[in-house]
Amino acid sequence: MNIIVCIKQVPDTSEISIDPETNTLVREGVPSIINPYDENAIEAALQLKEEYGGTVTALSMGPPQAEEALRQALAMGCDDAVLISDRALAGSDTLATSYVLAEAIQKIGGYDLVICGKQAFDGDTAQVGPGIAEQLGIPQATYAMEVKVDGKKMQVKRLLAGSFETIEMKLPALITADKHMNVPRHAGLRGVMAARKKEIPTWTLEDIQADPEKCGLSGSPTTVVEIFPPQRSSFLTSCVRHNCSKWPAEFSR
Amino acid sequence: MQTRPAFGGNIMARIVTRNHRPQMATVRPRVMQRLESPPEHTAEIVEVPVSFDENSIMTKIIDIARDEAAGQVNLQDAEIIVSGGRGLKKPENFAIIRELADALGGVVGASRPTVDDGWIAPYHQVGQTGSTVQPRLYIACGISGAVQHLAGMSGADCIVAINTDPAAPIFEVAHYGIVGDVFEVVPALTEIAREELGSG
Repeated sequence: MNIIVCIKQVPDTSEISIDPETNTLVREGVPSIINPYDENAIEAALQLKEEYGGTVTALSMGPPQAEEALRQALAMGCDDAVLISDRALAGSDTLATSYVLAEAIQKIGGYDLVICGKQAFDGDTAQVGPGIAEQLGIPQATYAMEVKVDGKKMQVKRLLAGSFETIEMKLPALITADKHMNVPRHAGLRGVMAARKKEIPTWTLEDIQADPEKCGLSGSPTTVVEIFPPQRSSFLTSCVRHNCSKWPAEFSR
Repeated sequence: MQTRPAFGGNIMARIVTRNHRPQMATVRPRVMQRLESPPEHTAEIVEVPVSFDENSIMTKIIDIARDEAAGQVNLQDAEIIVSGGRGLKKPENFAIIRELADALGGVVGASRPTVDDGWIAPYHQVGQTGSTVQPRLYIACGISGAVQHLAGMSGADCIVAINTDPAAPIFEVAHYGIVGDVFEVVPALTEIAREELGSG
């Protein structure tokens, strides 16, 4: 079975700081990694390949340095990797991003399954995976915990709030991988060496014949206008009520 | 305009959709005050007939199974929550958190990193991307206090924080802070709780 895994390069931290001057994220000195949930997606793809054969292609949309993330995906064991990078993609929201990835997936073609991480660690929207499935007109299963392939059908156990749901769908399909689906493998030395030698083609919008109106800013109905740290609204009142930051005598015996 | 968490709740983003109508948003539980419905309010419920081709449904539900363990964790209504973080060092050490929670009749909570690393099931997670909680007592053990965690629990009536690092942000929201080793302090609290409450 041929699998396409969509991955995103994200900053390696959950302790984000905001530059008070520009009101944007401080990116300096913050290393980049593969979105952690996407590593689960890669692992799921590699396990399916080991069981059923076929190929695994890693796909990413991002700036030229996103190639590093794809290189790492190759080192983990993906067969091929493709980067979609184009200045016209700047400002793409989840709708535009899923459109572009779906167009690229159609160009790659011949796939049985698309796997994404359940959400990206930075945006946390969980919208791009489902968006791709919609654009492609294929069935989808989000928050996948377990998968079973049976010919041209697939069963997916999904992790919901307080329950598990098992659904069946026809291939080709799309799933998004939950953290609890597997433990992603580490890239071995041999994998890293082999990955270095591989070509990673970079496709522009023209290469995938995407409609520029549906990409970047013009294809994005939503705009992030401001970012700020979350407030701790009820803290001050409760602090006053409880005479903050003292260790009560009755505990210190 | 929508305000939503990103970066695991460490950042809030305001998003506008200027030109597209209609638009849609989903609301997270407990982020807004629930309104009582006015007693005399009536509304008409209209039934709308729908017809669709069954073949257009691309997925079929085979089975739904309750996650038995999840049903026993009700963070949102808990009066007492004892939460563990990375300071526990390894998954097995959640045992001391469970013991204290049991002794106090409370519920076990967890920080995001411990859930992400698979130390404990996701329904224990407290924070912007987990449960937003408002217990009477919140005991944070080995939790440094990332903003996204604080945003989910700083509404607790009384917060006790135990951490080895006196500079940990959790102490900024704690009403009572203990700079110390969770492996000493937590079992000591458990012992006191058992004695005082006879819950051992």
